[in-house]
Amino acid sequence: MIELRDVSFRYGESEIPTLSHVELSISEGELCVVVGQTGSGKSTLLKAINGLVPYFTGGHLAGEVIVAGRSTRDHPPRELADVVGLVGQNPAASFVTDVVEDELAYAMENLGIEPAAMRRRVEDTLDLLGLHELRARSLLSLSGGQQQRVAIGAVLTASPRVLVLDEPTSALDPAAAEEVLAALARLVHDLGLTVVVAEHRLERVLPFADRLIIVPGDGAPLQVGDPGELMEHSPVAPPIVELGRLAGWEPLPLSVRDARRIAAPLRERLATIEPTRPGEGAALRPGSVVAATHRLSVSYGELRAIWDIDLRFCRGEVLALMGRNGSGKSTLLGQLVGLRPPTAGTVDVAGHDPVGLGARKLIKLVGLVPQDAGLLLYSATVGAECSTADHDAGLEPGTTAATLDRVLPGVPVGRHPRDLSEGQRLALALAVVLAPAPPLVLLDEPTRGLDYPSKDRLVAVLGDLRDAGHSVVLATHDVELVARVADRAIVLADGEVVADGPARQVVCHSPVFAPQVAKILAPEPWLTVAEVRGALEGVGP
Amino acid sequence: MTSVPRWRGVVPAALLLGAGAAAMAPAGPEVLVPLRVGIAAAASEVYVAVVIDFGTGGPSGPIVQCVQVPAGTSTDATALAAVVDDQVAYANSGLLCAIDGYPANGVANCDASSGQNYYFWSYWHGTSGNWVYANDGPAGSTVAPGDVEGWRFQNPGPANPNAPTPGPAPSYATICPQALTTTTTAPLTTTTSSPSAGSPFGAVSASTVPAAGGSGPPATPASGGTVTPTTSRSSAGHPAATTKAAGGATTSVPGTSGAASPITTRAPPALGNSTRAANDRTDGAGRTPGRAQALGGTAGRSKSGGGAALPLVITGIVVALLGLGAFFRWRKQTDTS
Amino acid sequence: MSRHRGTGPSQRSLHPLAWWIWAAGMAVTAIKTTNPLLLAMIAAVVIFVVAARRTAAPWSRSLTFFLRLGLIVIAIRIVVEIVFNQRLPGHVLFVLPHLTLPHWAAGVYIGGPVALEAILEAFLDGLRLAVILVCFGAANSLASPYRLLRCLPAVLYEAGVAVTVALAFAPEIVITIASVREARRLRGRATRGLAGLRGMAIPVLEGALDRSLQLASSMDSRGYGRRDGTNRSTRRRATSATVIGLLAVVVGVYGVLAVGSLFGLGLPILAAGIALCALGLSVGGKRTTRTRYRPDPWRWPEWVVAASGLCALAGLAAAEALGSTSVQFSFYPLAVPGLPVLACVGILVALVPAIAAPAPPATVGPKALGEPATLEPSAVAKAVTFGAAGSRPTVVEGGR
Repeated sequence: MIELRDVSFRYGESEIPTLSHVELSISEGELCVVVGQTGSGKSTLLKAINGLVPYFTGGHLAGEVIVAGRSTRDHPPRELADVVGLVGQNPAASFVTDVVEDELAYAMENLGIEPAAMRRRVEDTLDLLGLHELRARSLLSLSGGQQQRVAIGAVLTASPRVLVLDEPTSALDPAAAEEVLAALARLVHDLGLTVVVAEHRLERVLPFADRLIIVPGDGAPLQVGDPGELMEHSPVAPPIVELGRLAGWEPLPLSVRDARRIAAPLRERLATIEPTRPGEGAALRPGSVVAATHRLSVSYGELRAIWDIDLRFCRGEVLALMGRNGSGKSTLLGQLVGLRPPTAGTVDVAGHDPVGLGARKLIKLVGLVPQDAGLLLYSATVGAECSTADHDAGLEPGTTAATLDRVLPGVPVGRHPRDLSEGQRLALALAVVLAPAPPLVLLDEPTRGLDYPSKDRLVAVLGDLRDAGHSVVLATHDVELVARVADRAIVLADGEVVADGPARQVVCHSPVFAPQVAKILAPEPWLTVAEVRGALEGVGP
Repeated sequence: MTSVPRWRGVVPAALLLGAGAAAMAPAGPEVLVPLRVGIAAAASEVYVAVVIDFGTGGPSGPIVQCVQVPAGTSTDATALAAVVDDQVAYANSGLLCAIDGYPANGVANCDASSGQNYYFWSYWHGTSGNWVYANDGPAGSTVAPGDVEGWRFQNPGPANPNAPTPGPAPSYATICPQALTTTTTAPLTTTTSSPSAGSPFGAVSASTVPAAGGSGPPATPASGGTVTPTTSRSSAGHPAATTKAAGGATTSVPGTSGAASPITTRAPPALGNSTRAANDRTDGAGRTPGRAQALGGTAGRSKSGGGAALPLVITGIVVALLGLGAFFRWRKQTDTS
Repeated sequence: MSRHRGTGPSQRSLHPLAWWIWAAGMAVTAIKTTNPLLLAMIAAVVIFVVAARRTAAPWSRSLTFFLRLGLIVIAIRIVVEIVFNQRLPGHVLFVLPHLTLPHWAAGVYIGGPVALEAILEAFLDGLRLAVILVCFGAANSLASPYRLLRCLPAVLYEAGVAVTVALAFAPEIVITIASVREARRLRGRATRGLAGLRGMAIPVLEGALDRSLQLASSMDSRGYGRRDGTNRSTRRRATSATVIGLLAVVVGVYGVLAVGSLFGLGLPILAAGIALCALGLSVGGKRTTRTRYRPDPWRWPEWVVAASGLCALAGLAAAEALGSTSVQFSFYPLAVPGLPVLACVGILVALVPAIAAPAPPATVGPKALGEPATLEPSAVAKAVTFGAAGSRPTVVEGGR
């Protein structure tokens, strides 16, 4: 179905090829997962299937890409629209119309399909993706998961044979991600579509994958093969694979169900050991209170975002705020930095009300890294960003640069912040926020778009912050991150707190928020592979 | 955004506004507050020198005439009407469009602001001895002895209101010598009739008056906000008799003291048609110079009495009903949306 | 949400063109009269119909914006009249200090006695403008701009797409600006003043550029811009003919409505423009390969709504033809306005859309009893906090 014959590609200005002599053949009805670090060329590979590379992005493409018999040499993307459907990273940015139904029909209108056929296909797509109730809704009012499904439906109505998705679940909470992946699996199994998915969070997609493509980056050859085989030796692996390697399971299980079948002996060995994490004991005796909210409520007109929340944030503690998209996490973080006055209740940050606090004083007490870290950065180079941060906070020149070096060494100083990779940008934003050493540090969805090495880096930084006595609050739905670094977890739903306690307690037995290790080793409350490794080494000979 | 639309104050405010306007109207324009409270002339009749210059291509040469008008209530417009026997045409907006039937299409083209139909009558004060472009309308202030008013028709072309001035020289002594020779003031029997409803110029008086005049120092017109420069008068007692005809134009000098020709004055009627040009009142500041000065009054078109209130009442009820309905419907929509 | 076709014909949205014709009829009626009673009635009728038939979509609130704008227009008009008064006689209310201007500014008056008639005339002028604005705002509130753009003929398709995208971007930009402002506060920087503006402009523009690139690639992937077989020169000719024709229509309409200008050439120019437009549309629309998905039908409610708007205009024209003197009204001299019956009836007929147009679809999504409404926030009402990449706001919703 898809053939890449000796494809090499480099962008116009650069000498280093992004793809070099790629030979790839994907047959019909396969679900391929493309893995690789950010900037390694994953997106380029995906767009080459569609023809956006090189028609839209520019650059030099050598070799040939053939999809369903059509070569991208002769056909620009618009002529491949009935064969390949590409769903980008940000579905909301790709909407052309205002209503779900019209969005679904847009591709067909372009293709000139007759109205009766259009009507039929729209109805079928609505049923296929479970969007029937939403057909007349405005696109702006949909949740992230719904928008993602509408974006998939919008390319699906053109009846393509190939579906290409670039990080479809990165912005979604676990349940919505499950929905989207299940829909994709259904498309593959029921309709025989060929689906190519690029994803960072391997733990979500791996169970569905028929084939794995690892893109090492910098023009190195791709590694293509069966997921189980590739995972044996891959440097980046989801927790289930690491656990399998640690426990020596053969063949390597890729889904929780397979893992549980093999995991019985391991569970027995661990049955008598109490799971601990280094530093966990200290976290159970939290330090002084840095910030607190008392009966906090925030409403926007009739819309109630947070309702009656009482929370305390202590030093030396990492707190995870979890909940589905729209449950009020971001609003709560916004309240802690005083973005707007609450409708009721009070917020207290180090003895002050953040709303009336001057900006300079504020950044010395609390720092927030928003979801889109790039919003914080507006200088032309990394170096300029560091010096303005020093100036704004009244610090010694060079403090921010030193912090950046601690967080992530090797960020090129002369580069524009928008040209950095996701991990580097997050590191820069973190450095800017951490330079004044505020006692309360807030992060909103930091791991979106981060690959595994960057995530490891982030976990180390957060651990250091906790040891240094800061109070760290993470709003996230990345359960693996929570398992690795959080001491306490709070679950929000509809603006109210539904669970509050030590992370292990809250997370382990929840079907939605449990990390993979917990699901595999349930009912034992193990959170990460590192814990298991520590326990086995402690017990072992 | 809040769910309660903030515009809901508009409807009650609009209703109040409408009610207020409705309340004001039937009061009726009975009393006119004169714009200039001048010092009452010693005489109750005033001589006004009127100069009408038809410009190049006019039907005749300039008209230079002295008229006698009742003091205290007459304006330059009154005097002008007296000179040309009411042959003064105004548009509905109050603009003076034609004098003595010139120009022929004066009223129809009154609102033209450019092109070949753009011509107008410009209004001048000559009281100071020089022609000065007037900053107000001819009905703007009451006349006083020594007033010289001038009219000059500006042909189509460059719209400079300042040029040219009326041809004949603005010499009050020359034009109205009889004003400076008579010394006695005879009491007048004036009958003032109530103003016709709707005429803003109220006090219409038809009276027969004996010749009156004063040789005393004419009253200095009090400036009710007008910029008439201080008058420099030619000395009183100037020997009368010779009336200089400026420019060889024919002049007609009214009879001197003695038999007083009854001069009936009344508010200049409107000869304009009833369709009002829609655009002639759009800009006050940007108004082309000269057009705005000429003003008379329009004959009253209003109905007086209780019949006037009915349309207001009907409209008020309709608007109130619709407004309230819209208001509640809007609230309901916002609550359920 | 602009459209719901689920539960039967009585629950659809009216064709947007019908609303625009109705509003245009009311606006032209307002232009052609200067009677304050008629103007007030036009405004009331228009507002009532909007209140009765507007939807819950974000643009349905645009009427309030235009109402406020209209009130501002009236206020400005009155203030200008007071300051630059023409010293026309009348009932003097108060006297402003007078300002002498040099002779080259002759004809411009500042200060002086302010007459009641002048203020009332200024109010009337402003009222006329305000009513026209209200009619325009009503059309904006009632007719979905997206649906209107979909009605465009095929020749103007690309222009329509550009406008649609701009419409979608505008609220996004507003949200982005809010996000950027919050981010600046987190950096301890000014958010107001010139420095604040400069610092916010770059991230907003960068975000907009990113978004527009993503949108373009998405549209390209979905087949936008497929060749339709006509050669380029034919298409270009058709498009230019249409555009020139539209411009001629605009000029002609101005000539017809503004009495006394364009030397009576208004009508011929209008006719020529319509002919050019028709030519361009017919030539350009012949060989397009785009189809339309479920175009809005034009049935009897559309006819009724359009006709009712034109009825108001007809009533006015009839009243004038029959010699009614109160259609054009002036506050010089101070008088009570009359009410021409025919025009009044015509305007009241324009209330018909409040019942003839199909009812707006019910709000989507059930609301549990006793819970505050947590569904379906409009784009701007959502929590503007740091959204996803591209600054989407996080949606507060109960249930997925």
